[in-house]
Amino acid sequence: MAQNKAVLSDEDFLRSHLSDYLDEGLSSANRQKFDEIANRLGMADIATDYGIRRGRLQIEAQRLYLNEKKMRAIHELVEDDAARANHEAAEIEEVGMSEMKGNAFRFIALAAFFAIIFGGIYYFFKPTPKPTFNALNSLIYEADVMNENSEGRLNFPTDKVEEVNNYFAKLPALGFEPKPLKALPAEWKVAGASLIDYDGAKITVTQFQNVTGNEKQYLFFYVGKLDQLPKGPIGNSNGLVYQSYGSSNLNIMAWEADKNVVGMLIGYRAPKDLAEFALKVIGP
Amino acid sequence: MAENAARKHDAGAAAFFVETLCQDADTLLRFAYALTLSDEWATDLVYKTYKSILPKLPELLKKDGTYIRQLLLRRIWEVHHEEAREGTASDNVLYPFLKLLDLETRAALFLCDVVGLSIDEALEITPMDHNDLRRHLAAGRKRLLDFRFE
Repeated sequence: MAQNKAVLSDEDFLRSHLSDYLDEGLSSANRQKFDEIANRLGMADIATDYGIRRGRLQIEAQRLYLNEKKMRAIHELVEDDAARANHEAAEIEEVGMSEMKGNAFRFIALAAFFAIIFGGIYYFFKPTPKPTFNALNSLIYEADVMNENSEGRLNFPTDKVEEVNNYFAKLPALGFEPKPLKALPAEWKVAGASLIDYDGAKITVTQFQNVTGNEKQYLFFYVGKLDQLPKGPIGNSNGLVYQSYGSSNLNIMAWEADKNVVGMLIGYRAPKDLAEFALKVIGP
Repeated sequence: MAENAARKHDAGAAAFFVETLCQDADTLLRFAYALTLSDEWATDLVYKTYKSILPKLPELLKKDGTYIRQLLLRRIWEVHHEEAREGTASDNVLYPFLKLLDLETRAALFLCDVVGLSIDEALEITPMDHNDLRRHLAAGRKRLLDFRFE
């Protein structure tokens, strides 16, 4: 018994190290052990599936929050009505402090000087922007959910390529220019577009639907680099170099669509077919 | 009661409580729900947890956010065990997912996969053997992988 307690079973090892595996926090020995167990038990997709399910759990958990009345009850442990009124008044007063006005001119001049200096330095030496979200797992999850039911998740319902291009072109503070869509292959049509916001990280998504059935594909663009994704098999479709991945039911191909912009296409077809679609719709 | 409590803390400590400690209130509520399986009791547990740390308020003023969050999570675990109770029905979509799991499994899963703690941080909250925590976490994730939310 003591020995059993001291050693994790293979399945327990696998499942209890899933988040470390996804976050690339495992030592090389444990990562090797994880891969070996996953392959031996026929659970090669478990990390991707877990990433999706964990995302869903977190979304459901976030629906739990304290409303204003309950929050106020907690605040009243230390603040009565008068104290809270004073507190709020002090915050308002602090924001409007007139002292700031007196120093504003000097501050602005000084700030402008440093902004030019440091802005120039930053421009030339800025680090590659890194997505603030787990792109692969999050976007597989988004595609999976939209595939089940996209109602309410696509802000811009349209079936016209031109309207999708105009919609993305007019979005404020996107931080990048998503590559415009060209004419689609005859068997595909546009079925809506949207903007996703993950804590400030902006992602554009376009939904495509096969005209002969209900099959859908999802095209995402976001700020980032391809090498920030986990390493996957590399393919080349007439000059479009991409990495591919697979979840339990979807295939994914991702490529560097522009400088610091990653494109990701998710659907049921093989990565090679997805790459050909991307090449036709977006170009190399 | 509120007036009496308010008189015991100066404006700085009260502002710290409201602006810093209460930042973690929703995180505590989610963990509390995993422990109690009841919206009402989870809210009550969060309230009691904050109330229980009022005597420590002066010393917490010097602590960083990570320390404070760990303290609050540990207190919520302790307060729950002072009067442990579990709901038997709830409209919350998490209820059918969680109801088949034991308390330690729910706690391990929420601390690691919802709050985002490491194994070592989770062990500071729940007094378990390292491998026991991993077993509970594995059991919770097995349920997570098998379950389909409505």
